[in-house]
Amino acid sequence: MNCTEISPLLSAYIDKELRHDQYESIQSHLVTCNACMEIVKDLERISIGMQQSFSQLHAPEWLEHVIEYQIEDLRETEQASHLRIAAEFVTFLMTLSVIGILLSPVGKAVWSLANIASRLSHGGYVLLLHVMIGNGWILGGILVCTIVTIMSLFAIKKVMQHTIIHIH
Amino acid sequence: MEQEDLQLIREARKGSREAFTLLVRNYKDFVYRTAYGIVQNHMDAEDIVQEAFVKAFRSFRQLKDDYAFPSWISTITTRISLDFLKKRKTNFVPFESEAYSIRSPDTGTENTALRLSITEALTLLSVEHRTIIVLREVQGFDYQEIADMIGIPIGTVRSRLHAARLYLRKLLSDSEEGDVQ
Repeated sequence: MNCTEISPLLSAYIDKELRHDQYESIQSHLVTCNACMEIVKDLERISIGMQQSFSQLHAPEWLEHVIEYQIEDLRETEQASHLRIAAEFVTFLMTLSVIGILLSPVGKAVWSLANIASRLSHGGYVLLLHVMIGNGWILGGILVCTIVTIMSLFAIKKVMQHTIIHIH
Repeated sequence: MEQEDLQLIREARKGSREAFTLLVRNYKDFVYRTAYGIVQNHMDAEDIVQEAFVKAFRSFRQLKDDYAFPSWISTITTRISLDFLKKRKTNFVPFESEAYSIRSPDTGTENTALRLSITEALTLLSVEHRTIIVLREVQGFDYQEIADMIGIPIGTVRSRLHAARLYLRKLLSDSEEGDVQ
């Protein structure tokens, strides 16, 4: 191998990233070629110089704390997001349950009993019950709102507790 | 990689925030050197380090092999750094005065002079050349790892690294000749 063929391989030579036969060819060439040997020495010098230069470079101490706070914020945001998704899912399930109950035989039986009671009493509180059951979605809405409110309060309490623990 | 780091990586993968905090402590210089080597600006490097660790925390489950953590975090850092430079649309960032202030108490004057010249010359390389030379010289990754990290063939890594080193050699040689004159 001559200098033209050897030259592109000199970096890989100092990094020991060559096949064994290529490595040996270059080694024997370097014994007789001062020009290529000079390049190898310069490349090694640059390599050592860069390593020395960057080994003196350190990240600021405060960076560690900033990253810690950012990760804490990230966890809280993810936690709140998970709670919100859970609350929405539970609300959806509850709504489906209420609709299911109203449309089920039990719901129809309650509806019939309310009608009978209304006819017997001709008004009064039972009429109010009839109106309310007649508009079953109102009851369902009240139920869902109550559940969502309770769950939201629970979620807020959990997040607050987590934040207080973190501050302490 | 040390046994302690491996244990921390395993615990962090399970969701331990304390273990991740210790990993940040052990690897922040490593990540910072990669970011600074590529973007050549301390403030930008600090932002990139933060982003890299937050991203690592979020995607820790994607790390398949615990032993690959250094190359994995370096890949994240390199990609963020390259995206950052792409957004900024620049290849050349003016050399910062702080870089010149790096001093080692146990090295001689000659080494210091050489080191400063190399750091300065590094800023004159293209982003592609700088990235490869930093991953090789500073972080010590082999050619295959660098190829996997950047997503280029190993032959390209070899040729780019050699071109980068020859260019640095030329810059330093010209600089020394200038001093002599």
